[in-house]
Amino acid sequence: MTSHFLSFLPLSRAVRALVTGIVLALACLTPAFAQLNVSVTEGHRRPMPIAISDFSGPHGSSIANAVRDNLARSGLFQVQNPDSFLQRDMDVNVAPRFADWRVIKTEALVVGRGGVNAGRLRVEFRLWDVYGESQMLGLEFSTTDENWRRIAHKVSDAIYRRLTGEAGYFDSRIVFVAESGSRTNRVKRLAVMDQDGANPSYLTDGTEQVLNPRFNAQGQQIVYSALTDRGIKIWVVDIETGRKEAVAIPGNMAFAPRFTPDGQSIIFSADRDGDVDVFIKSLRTGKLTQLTRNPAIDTSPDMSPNGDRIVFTSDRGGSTQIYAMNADGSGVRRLTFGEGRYSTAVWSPKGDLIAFTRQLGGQFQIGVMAADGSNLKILAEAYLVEGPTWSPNGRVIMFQREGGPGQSPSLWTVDVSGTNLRKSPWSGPGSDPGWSAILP
Amino acid sequence: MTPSKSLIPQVSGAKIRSLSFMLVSSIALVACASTKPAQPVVPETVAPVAAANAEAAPTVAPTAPAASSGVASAPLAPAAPAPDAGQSDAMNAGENLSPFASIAEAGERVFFETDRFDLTDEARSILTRQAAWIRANPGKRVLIAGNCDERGTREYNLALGARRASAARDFLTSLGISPDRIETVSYGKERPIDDRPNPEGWAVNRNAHTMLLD
Repeated sequence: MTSHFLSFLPLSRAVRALVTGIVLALACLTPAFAQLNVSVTEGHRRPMPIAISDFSGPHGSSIANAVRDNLARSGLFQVQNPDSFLQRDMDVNVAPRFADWRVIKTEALVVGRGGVNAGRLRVEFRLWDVYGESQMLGLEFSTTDENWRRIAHKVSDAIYRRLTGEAGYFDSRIVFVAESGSRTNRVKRLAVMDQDGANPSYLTDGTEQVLNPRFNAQGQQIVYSALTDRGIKIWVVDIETGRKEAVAIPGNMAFAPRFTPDGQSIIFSADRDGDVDVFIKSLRTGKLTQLTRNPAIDTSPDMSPNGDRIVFTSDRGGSTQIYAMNADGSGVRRLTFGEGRYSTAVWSPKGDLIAFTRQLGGQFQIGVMAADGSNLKILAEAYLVEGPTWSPNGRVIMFQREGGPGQSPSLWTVDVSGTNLRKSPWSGPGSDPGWSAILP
Repeated sequence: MTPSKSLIPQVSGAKIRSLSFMLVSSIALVACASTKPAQPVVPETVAPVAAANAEAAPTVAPTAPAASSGVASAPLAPAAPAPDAGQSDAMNAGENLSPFASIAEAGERVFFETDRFDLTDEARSILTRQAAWIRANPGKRVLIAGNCDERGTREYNLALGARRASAARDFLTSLGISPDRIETVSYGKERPIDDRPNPEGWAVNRNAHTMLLD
């Protein structure tokens, strides 16, 4: 493995031997670094101090900054200020002077460098255990030069995974509705950005009001509804080609769409003479199936990741509550019974939890509960919060928030632990976020 | 509606390049057992969705977005109180004379209580006047849009607005107006007419709005 790695690094044989020798010596003196890990479940009692030195090579400091921002926003790390670093002469192939890093009390250290090879940007990095004086991780990524930010996200995900034992969520995107205009003449455009707010772009021009966009599990298509004067229609857009297609559904009001986990069907609600029910339509065969038959409102359906249950919002019991049913519409069961009105239920990526919106006492809340409705927990509350969406690893929830009456909506995140509430780096008014899976 | 200026570049399709991000090598300088190469953090290939997409094509009609023209969207005019005599005239079946020059004059919006879609007495009175105008203008069709205040979730409010529009339509048809002359739609909480974020503003925004089509 060592020689394989070194084979593409332009190191002299002497340096190669030196590096290997030093690190072997250090590593074998110290015990494993089992003590160096972060709990993502308990909130962050003590964020882990981590130092990310500027990478050398193209985009070096920008990549390091993007990694710092990602890890800091996760709430699990205390990212050290680069001004405090004692050792500046970092070389990705030389073990750091651990004593220098212990002075600033950092526990983990990231060193990296980039280079261009055959027109592609290659970035390698190592994650060091400062107290264990050992390497925890060493990886290299390559891509085209303009996609350097994705390397920063891949590096962040690798560090997150190594230190928390959980998959990361940084190399992912958010589809959302970018809002502008006055409250009584709102322009709502379909937009996509990186998880950290970078690289935003619009997919619609604002002539129709875009609502509730969501990715498919493969991350290449977005389903959304678009409101015009005469109705609301469901559209599917391919984000690689930009091609949009309306999904043919009888009637003039079909909304609240989501892809099924296999990406082959769309589950949504549609109005028939004032009665809104849940339907599923196969994009392969065109088959349309009605799943609820009830004079009450049935909307906001979401299918569980394994495809066997559907949660939805209904007021069939008199107040607005969350229900679950089998994929064929049978076996309906009410999940929420507490005070307030519950809506917009959405499954976690693992299918073990359901996030929801609750209205209670003039406020709105974002909460999570177990798949059977038990263990309800409120994570955020404000004048208006709604539309939770899960990070790909199920540890973070993004939602729309209006802090007070008359405020513009913006995108916020909170950890499932209930900590680390913060505004998305996207600075503009935005609503209806939908989080993608980890990018391919 | 014109989009406001923004710093975001307009693109036809947001690009996620399939970057074949390659895990070129696991760097392992340390020869201890604990430094096994990390698992690949990047799946090698994307699951092909193109096939599903192509098969979907026949069932997905490439329709243009609904035309936004043809709907009267004049600002709300204060409803004139209906003369008593006019109302009874209007109720006369076969009478083709409306005492109202327009739907706006008859009263174009009826209002609802919080999270309700049943018609108040006042709403029935306004709809009765609308029916008189519709009856007196046989060639005309109307669109009824249901609207909600901002104190509900987006998708629920779209459903609630549909109920409000249908309640208004059902009352008009109960007065003898042909259902063929009435279209309904819900704008949910997306098109408020009062920007006050308080109970007074919310009350104005909970309505069914009857507009002339064509």
